[in-house]
Amino acid sequence: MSVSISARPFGLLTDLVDVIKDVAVEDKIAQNNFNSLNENMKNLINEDFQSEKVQKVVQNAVDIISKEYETVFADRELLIKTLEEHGVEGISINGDSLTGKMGGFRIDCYREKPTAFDFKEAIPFTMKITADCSEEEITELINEFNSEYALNTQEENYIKIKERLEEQGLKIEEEEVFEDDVIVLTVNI
Amino acid sequence: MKKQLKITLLPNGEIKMETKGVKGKKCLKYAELLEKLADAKIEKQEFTSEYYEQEVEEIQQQQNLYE
Repeated sequence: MSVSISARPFGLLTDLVDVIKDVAVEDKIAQNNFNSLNENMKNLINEDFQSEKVQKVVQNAVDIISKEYETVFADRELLIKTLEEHGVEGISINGDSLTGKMGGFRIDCYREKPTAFDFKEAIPFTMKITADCSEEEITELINEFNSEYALNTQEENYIKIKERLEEQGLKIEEEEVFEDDVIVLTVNI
Repeated sequence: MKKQLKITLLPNGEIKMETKGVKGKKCLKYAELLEKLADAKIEKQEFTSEYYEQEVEEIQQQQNLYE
């Protein structure tokens, strides 16, 4: 008796084991063909990996997620600074298109070219993060970028306002920095 | 009363400003100043009691003119 297992679409390895048992019980010759069957089993496993079910399991195990976020990051230089400070490496810049990597994360930022109607308003970037991780990890990363960009904005505003107050001949009487990172400038006018 | 600006820089990137001792519509020019200082755009504006104090004084002055 010869056993051909390639004709039957086995879904799982357990199915195959059941078949071996059945055949072994029905026909003693089958036991002699066990080695041949074993070889076929290996082929079957390889074949099984092509099946949709197994492919899905494998895909889930090494799933690569790609998420896009509409950010409020409208200042390109500030965005680059934020990415660098966070540890994004090898940032390549091509106009309003930025790409960099950080660990297993690939970060792409891009924005539309401004039209004649929004030449005064800076258009915010869209951030695309691609990684082999969970969605929560990507959301966490984008939240970190958000708070760091905001802190950089605060720092830039602080420097800019102080410089321009001086230019205007206005004196800062008091400067307070609170525990929650709030800065208060009291200016005499 | 001493005239002052209180400029508050928040960690979320927002800027708030309050005028002290500036009565009436004069305070509005400082809102314009803040826009120039920070290259920013005003999103929200609220008037304090000082804004209306000057209005009352101006109305009184106008009434005096007619009397």
